[in-house]
This record gives sequence, C-alpha cells and structure tokens, in this order.
Amino acid sequence: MERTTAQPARRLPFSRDWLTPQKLMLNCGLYLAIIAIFATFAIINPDFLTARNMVNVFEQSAYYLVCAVGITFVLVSGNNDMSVGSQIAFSSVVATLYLSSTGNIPMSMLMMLAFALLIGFFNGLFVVIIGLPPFIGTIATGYVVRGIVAYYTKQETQYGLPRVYTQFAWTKTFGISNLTWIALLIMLFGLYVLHCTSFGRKVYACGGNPVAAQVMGINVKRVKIACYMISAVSAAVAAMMLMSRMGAARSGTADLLHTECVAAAVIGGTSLKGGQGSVIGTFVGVFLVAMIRNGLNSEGINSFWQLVFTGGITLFAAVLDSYKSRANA
Amino acid sequence: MKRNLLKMGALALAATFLLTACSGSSGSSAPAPQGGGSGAAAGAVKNPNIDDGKNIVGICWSSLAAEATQVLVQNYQDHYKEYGIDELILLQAEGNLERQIDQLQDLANQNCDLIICNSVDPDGIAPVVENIMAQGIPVIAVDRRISADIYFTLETDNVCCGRDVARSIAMMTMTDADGNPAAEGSVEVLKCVGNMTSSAVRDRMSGLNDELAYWPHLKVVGEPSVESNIEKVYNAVLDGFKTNPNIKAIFVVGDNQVAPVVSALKELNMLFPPEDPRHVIIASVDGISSVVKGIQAGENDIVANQRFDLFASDVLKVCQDYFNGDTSVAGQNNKLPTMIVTRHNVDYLQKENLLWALPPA
Repeated sequence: MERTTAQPARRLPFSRDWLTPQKLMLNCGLYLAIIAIFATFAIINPDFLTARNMVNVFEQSAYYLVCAVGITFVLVSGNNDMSVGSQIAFSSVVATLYLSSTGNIPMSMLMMLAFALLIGFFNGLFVVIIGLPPFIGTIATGYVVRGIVAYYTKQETQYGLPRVYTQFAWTKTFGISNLTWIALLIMLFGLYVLHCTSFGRKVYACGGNPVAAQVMGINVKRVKIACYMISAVSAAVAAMMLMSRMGAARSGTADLLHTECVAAAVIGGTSLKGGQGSVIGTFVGVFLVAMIRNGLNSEGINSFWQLVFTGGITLFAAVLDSYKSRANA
Repeated sequence: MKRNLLKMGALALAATFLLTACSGSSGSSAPAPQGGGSGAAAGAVKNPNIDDGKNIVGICWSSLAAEATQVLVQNYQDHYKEYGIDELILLQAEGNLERQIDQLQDLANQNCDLIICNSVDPDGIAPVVENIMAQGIPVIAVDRRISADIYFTLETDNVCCGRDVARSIAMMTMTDADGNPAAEGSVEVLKCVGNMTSSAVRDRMSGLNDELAYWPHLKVVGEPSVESNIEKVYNAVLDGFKTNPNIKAIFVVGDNQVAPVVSALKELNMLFPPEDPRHVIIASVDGISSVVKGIQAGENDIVANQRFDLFASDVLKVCQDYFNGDTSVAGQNNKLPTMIVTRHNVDYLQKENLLWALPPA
C-alpha cells in the first residue's frame, strides 16, 4: 500500500488561496480602492498626478503627518488621544504671544516642547494612572488647554511672528517645502523608534496584550504614558509647522485634527484596539486623505463631500480591519 | 520585518526624491516678497496662464452656512459666463483656516488665472496669498479684507454699518412709553459678539461700540461671545434675560442669528408686536429674505442691508476687465455702503427693488 505523507502547504506570496475574491478583498481591498480613486481623479483632471501637484499635497499634509505619527504610537499602545488639536492650538498661541514680544525662536520652541511634555504627562496620568477612559481623559485636557488660550486671546488671531519664522514654511529646499522635509524626517524617526527599537516592541506588546506584557516584565504604565508624551511632542512640532505656515495662531485652530489623524491611521491599518499599526501605514493614510481632498478641491467639489469620502474610506478600512481580525482569530 | 519596514521607509524617501527630480526645480527658492503698497500689487500681476485660451477663476469662500453667502455665491455661478469667464472653481472652507490655506494652494495649482477669496482670517491667510500673488495670480478679497498686498478688495463699510445699526437702536429708544426722553442708562442692550477672526465682524463691532457709547440712554448689559453658532445665540438670549429681564434691544452680527433670537424670545414669552412697549428690538446685518420679511411681520426691527448683488457683479466685472488687460483697479479697496431697513421703509425699498433678497411684490 502506498503511503502518502501530508506535505505542509507552501505559502507562496501569490498562492491560489490568496487570490480568492475574499482574500484579495481583505488583503488588497484598500489598495485597490486607493488605485481606483487615483485613477478616477487622474482621468478627470490631467493635472492631478503631476509632480507639482504631488509636491503640493505633501506640503499640505506635512503637519498632519507629524501629528498622525505621534497618534499612531498612542493607538498602537491601545489608547487614544483626542487632545492633539487643542494641544496645537494651545502651544501655537502661547508661542506666538511669546515670540511676538521677544522674538526668541529657540526659547519659544523649548517652551512648546516643555508644555507638550507636561500635557502629555497629564494625559497619561488621567488615562493610565487614574484610569479614566481615553476618550474622556484626553478630551477634557483638550478643552482645558484650548479654553485657556481662547479666554486669554478672546479668540482673536495672534500674529507678529518673526519674518524668518514665517518664511521657513514657504521656502523650498531641493524643490520641496521645508515642512515636507521635516515631516519626512519625523516619519522616518517614528518608523525607526516604533519598529526597530525595544521601546517600539514594548508599545506593540502593551497594546496587543497589556496583561501579558506586564507578566513579561514590561512597565506597561510607563510605556503608555511615554506614548502620550510622544504624541504631545509631535503635536508641538506640528504646531510649530502650522505657525510657520499661517504666520499666525488662534485658539480655534486644528479643531478636527484628531479625527483626521485617527482616520488616516485607521486607513493605514492601525487598529483602534491597539497592538497593530505602522508608521508607514499612517503615512499612506495621511497621503490618501490629502490626495482625496486635493482631487475634490481641484474639481470644485463641495468640501462636505470630502468629509463623506474620507468617512467612507475610513469605514471601509475599519470594516476590513474588523474582518481581518476575525479571520486571524 | 525590520528590514522590510526600513525598505519601505527608504522607498518612501526615494519616491519623494523622484518627485523632487520631476518637479524640475533645484536649489533653494525664496518665499514670496511681502509688503509694498498698491503699486506693488499692480506690479505683481503678471499671470503666465492668461494666454492659455481659457479664463479660469477660483473662488474660495470662508463658509456657505449663511443664506446671504449662498445667494452671493449663486450669483457668481449664474453670471460668470456673461463676464467672459470660461470656468469657475468654487470651494468653501467651512470656516476652517487651515483648510482655506490648502484650498487656495490647490486653486493656484489648478492654473486659475484669478482667485476670489472671502477669508476665514485676514491675517492667517496672508502668507499663502502673498505666495500666490508672487506666482502672478491676482487675488481679490470680497467682503473680508486680507492683510496682504493683493489685487483688489471689495467690502462693506462695516464700521459705518455698525454705527448705523447702533444709531437706529438709539433713535428707536430715545423716548420711553410715555413719550419722555429716556433716562441715562435706562435702555439695556444685549450685544452678541460674533466671530472676531473676521475683519468684517471686527469692524462692525468697532463701529457699533463707538456709536453705543455716544448715546447716554443706552447701556450694554451683556456681550456674550456667540461666534457663528446659532445655539450659542439662543442660549445667550435666554441667559441674558435671566440676569437682565429689562433688555430692550438685541444686536447680532449676522442675519442667520436672528432666528434663534426670535425663538428664544418666544420661549420667554417676550415676543411682542412693535407697538407694544414691551417689544424687544432685534437688530442685525445682511438683509436676507427671512429677516426682511420678519421686519414686515413685526418680529424683528433693524437690518443693515449689505450689497450682496454688487459683491458678485462688481467683482465679476473686475475679472472681466483683468482678462481684457485693464488692471486699473489694482491695489484698490472699495467699500460699499449699507442701507438701514426698518418697518418704516421696508415696503418702499421692496417696491423700488432696492433689497437684494426680496424682489418687488
């Protein structure tokens, strides 16, 4: 009798199993949607996929990217930070008030970073130590800091930034805006920290299974607080970029930034349950949202449709993520 | 895993460099020059796209939430072809400054020959507008100023408008119910403060404050900040009457805020006809149809009628002249007067077709 031995199935990157409609949709659905959107815009508008427009989109999404990289750390660690927009408003207004009276740029930046670390620490304190839900703890911090600057400025725009500061955003180096360079550097740094350091692995561990991480000897609370502080520092850097770009600061700024950054991260594959996500994915998400906005703007389509598109793609990404999680379970 | 991620990072960076190479510019480029007077604005006007055979105008409006701006923007859409414009790209920023900056950049990227802008914030968009002007694309500010050296500005004389409204309130309340002169500080006014990032609102409030201070019988008892939020207006009126039940006049910066004031007065059982001594005066600015009809119905009392009809036709004419090579308006800031509408003149103004929102009956 011939004896047959069960051979383990070879997992090829393009195996027949992988090409079934369901698997294809789960693994590549988002990318297919992105390609479809890009193709549609490119057909409608010949200027859409030009280098000039791409550079423009990078420039517009630079500070979003910086902020979204920080939020990715918090999301991967299993929390959420609803206060980033308010942090940007707070630190940009405080720094503008300071800069307009002293003109001391390095000191203003240090001040912003110090405030950011403090706010990030408080966010961590409320959520991680006291145990408030992230939604409540961070949104409350956001209200407090935005409310303080709104009161002191009477919601009026603050300006008077040094010329060298406002010129920076509009100056290009090697044909690309300085802000884009900064965003790319921060993205690469975030990529390195999250994916190539022991701290990054701890972030994944804390987000994926905090109990197991604790058993493994990881100080979960410390890691999660550190993620909030990273997010706050990213927000402070984004605030510097925004100040330079606008030449002004106001208390009402970046009010929807948090939702847009979270949407970008989710589109890029970051799970809201923690433990999953990547900086590169966030980069793709930010870029996609910016491209959609740009494509719709170019066609003069009402900005409310931009919300519909972004919301639709975020939903699509979240649904795919949910299916993938179930398939992997 | 680590290697793959680094590869992806390197790929992203490489793509960026590729874009850099494709963009065809090398070295550092300086930002747009700033400052200068009206001559500088005229000098900046040299559009490389003007000879491409297609006249494209971009409009970037701060928000289309108010009926007045919807009517105005509709006027642009209905009539642009009559002024030799081939394509009109209309965007609105939902009151979001960062979004408006992006939209202005997008319009400049779409080879617009001219950009019409109603700014969310006159100072906040100044750098991007200067940048666009430096690219040779003239920017026209409508209804709200831009703190930059631009091609042309058309706005309402909002300081004068605020003064006119305050003076009308003062005139209507100079005597008490018995016909005696009103005592000093006897007429209480609730002044709802709008979105102060708008130059129009700032000017309006400035004119209003100056004129209110001039009349001794008027006393401001509340200045709630309601921004552009109608819920805040509603609550501000309710709260105002709780602390000051004798409020005689309410000012709101825009007509879209009149409806919540009327609703709040109804809620408080304080909505009396104009002849009633307990009547609360409602004053606003814009002249939208519902508010003008409200004056006819005796619900509200004073509105400064802005010239939204001219905001469209005059600006389109400036665009037409520009395309025909006439740039004589470069650097100008034209201010349009408003007209005070009350129940005493509203029917006449409608009959004479002087109200932009209400055609003759």
